[in-house]
Amino acid sequence: MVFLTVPMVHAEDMALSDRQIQTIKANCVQAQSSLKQLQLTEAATRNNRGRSYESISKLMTTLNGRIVLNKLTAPTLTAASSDMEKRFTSFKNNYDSYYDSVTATIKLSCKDQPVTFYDSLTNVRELRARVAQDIKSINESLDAYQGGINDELRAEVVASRSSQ
Amino acid sequence: MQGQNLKALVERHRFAFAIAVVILITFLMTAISMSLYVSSGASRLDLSRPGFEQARKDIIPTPDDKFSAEGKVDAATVDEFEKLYQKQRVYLNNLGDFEDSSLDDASLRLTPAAQ
Repeated sequence: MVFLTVPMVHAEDMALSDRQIQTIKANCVQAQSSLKQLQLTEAATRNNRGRSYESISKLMTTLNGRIVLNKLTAPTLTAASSDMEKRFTSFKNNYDSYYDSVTATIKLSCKDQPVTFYDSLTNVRELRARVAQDIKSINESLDAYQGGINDELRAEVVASRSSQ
Repeated sequence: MQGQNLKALVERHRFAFAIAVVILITFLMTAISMSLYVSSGASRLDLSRPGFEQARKDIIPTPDDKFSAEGKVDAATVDEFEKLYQKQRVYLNNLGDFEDSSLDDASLRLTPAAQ
């Protein structure tokens, strides 16, 4: 039963010195204001990216359909567009978690809870890094699709033309 | 007996009772709508909220070129597609990537000043 009475100590709590805690207390309200500003800027970025990903995904689906209708094969394109869809879903989910985490951090009474605020900020950074990773992964899928067009589809078009 | 009293009360104040029911239904529908608005994630993307004026200004129209779902696939088709595809990629490359240093301790001034 003794362990139940021992307070939980988060790893981040131990990493903060008294001086750091004082600095956080002194500047956290300004930091929350910067977070709010960043949230507004990134809300527009999320919207812009989301709409563009949907447009590019529609383009890919249309070309893939046209390839099938013409009885051609381009498995790289199909795989890349499917990957892109999965990563786009991950981007949306991770952005939602990131947004919620920023909102929670902004609402914290940071002068009274500087350590909790810093923990929450650390979580925000991790979630933001996931969103950034999703963007990189989507770019990889888009590169793979581009590669498929140049290496696979163009060759397939030439081959089908010569066989006619 | 109680049921009859209630029935009589409703009969007597039919109009007031109808208004109360309508208000109750409105509350219920609003609660359902709000919960869907939040749980679907639409609230996070809704830039029409107060305070998001600047975000609304930062919306850049997406290239909206159409690519036909029908027709042959030849070199010209691939060229046409690539042009549209590249347009979207250029657009994407000009957007933020959630990677800048805005959240660093130094940027947020959470690092103690050197003594």
